[in-house]
Amino acid sequence: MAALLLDYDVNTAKASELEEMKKLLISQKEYLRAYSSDDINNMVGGDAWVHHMWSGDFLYLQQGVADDPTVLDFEAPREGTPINSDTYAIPTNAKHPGTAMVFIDYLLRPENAIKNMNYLYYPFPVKDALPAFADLAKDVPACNVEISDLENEDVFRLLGADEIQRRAAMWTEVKAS
Amino acid sequence: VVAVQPAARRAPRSAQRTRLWGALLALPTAWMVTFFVSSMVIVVLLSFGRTTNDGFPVFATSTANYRALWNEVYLELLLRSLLYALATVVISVLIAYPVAYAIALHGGRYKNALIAAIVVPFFASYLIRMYAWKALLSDDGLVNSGLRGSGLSDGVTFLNTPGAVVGGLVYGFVVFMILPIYASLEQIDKRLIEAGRDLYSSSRTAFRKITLPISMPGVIAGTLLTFIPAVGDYVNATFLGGPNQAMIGNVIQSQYLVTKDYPIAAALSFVMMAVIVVLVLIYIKFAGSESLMGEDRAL
Repeated sequence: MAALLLDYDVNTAKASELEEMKKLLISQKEYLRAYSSDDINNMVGGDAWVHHMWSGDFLYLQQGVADDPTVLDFEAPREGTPINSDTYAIPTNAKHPGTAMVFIDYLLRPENAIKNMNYLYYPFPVKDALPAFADLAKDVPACNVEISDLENEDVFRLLGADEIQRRAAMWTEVKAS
Repeated sequence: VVAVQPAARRAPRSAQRTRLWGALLALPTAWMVTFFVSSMVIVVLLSFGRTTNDGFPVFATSTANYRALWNEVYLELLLRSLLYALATVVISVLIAYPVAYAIALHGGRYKNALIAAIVVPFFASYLIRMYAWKALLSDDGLVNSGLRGSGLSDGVTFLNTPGAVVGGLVYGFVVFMILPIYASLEQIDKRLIEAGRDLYSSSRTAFRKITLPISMPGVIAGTLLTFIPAVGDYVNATFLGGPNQAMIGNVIQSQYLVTKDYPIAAALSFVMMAVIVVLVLIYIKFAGSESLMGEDRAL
């Protein structure tokens, strides 16, 4: 989010840009209660009223946990929103790759994808299941992800070890300072 | 005067007994070497290693990881962790001593039940208990609801403060302070205290000159048992801390599990262990290794 605010690539690992992001994130610490990813618990416990959270966590919080869903809302910042995808993967050394493939096919059947979406609150890239997700997110348009969103430049890429290391070192300094 | 028993009477050991001890020690030694020493060696070796571009740790002979740690951020983290651990020890002693004292000297036939009452909650997973603390101390949690309901306060911000982190550490480790102090107090020959009273000492003097010195091995053992895990803890700062309460354990944890940079995590672990070992050695030297050994003698 700091990268987007400063108009950098969301995947940046440039030292100069990381330094600016670090300064920004440290400077706002005095206004924050915590940097935490325990979003649902923090919101339910009343410890946070504004939280940086993934869209699916928000939908789960609103529709699966909250006493009064109408008091909660999700806003996608105008600077952009990082997009991330989880994947089904078969390890190269899997003992039964064929069975895994069959199982993934099963999970991707629209009726099963819909069951999963209703549990996870994240969209699945299954054409016939997407209307069901749009229905789930109908009150919160910002949480609705279209396939076209995946062509967005704010999608997290797989980074090299040195890039991850530089970003992590920056984050460590933010947390520690 | 702490003349509990005359100095140990050492019977000369027969060769047979030595062999028996050797055989009994073989299994634990093998266990420790296989699982403890070997993993330590891997950590130390890996701390000189590097991470390949596709994210795998490999052994090497570089000191780059240690040089990367030469940064005031890590110093601050380490100092904060040591400070929190020290506070944990002090508060734990203040809580544990009276509890152990009351149970050991005035517990009567309820002694075992009282000790069980202290130990049983610790059978629950540490993580679960910390989650429970978070739920209790939340702004809308049970404690604050109680305070608001009783009109005592409009609510207190407990979470995300140093107090919450130290409180969680105390709650997590206080039992390791209570048990050793209890064990040393329980062995006290009450006749020593009675003798002191017979010689016109006040109960305060009797406590200071008899009970306290005899229980010191328990306090010292408890200090080590709470201080060492508290320094490296990361669960408390994760759940109960705020933006300024990160501890060294949090960074080690995230280097191992989030960034997956094992070499730097290994270097950080090694530095932390080294600092703890040095501090413990200094502590034992000043606290007197003799009082640590005292427990053996009293047996």
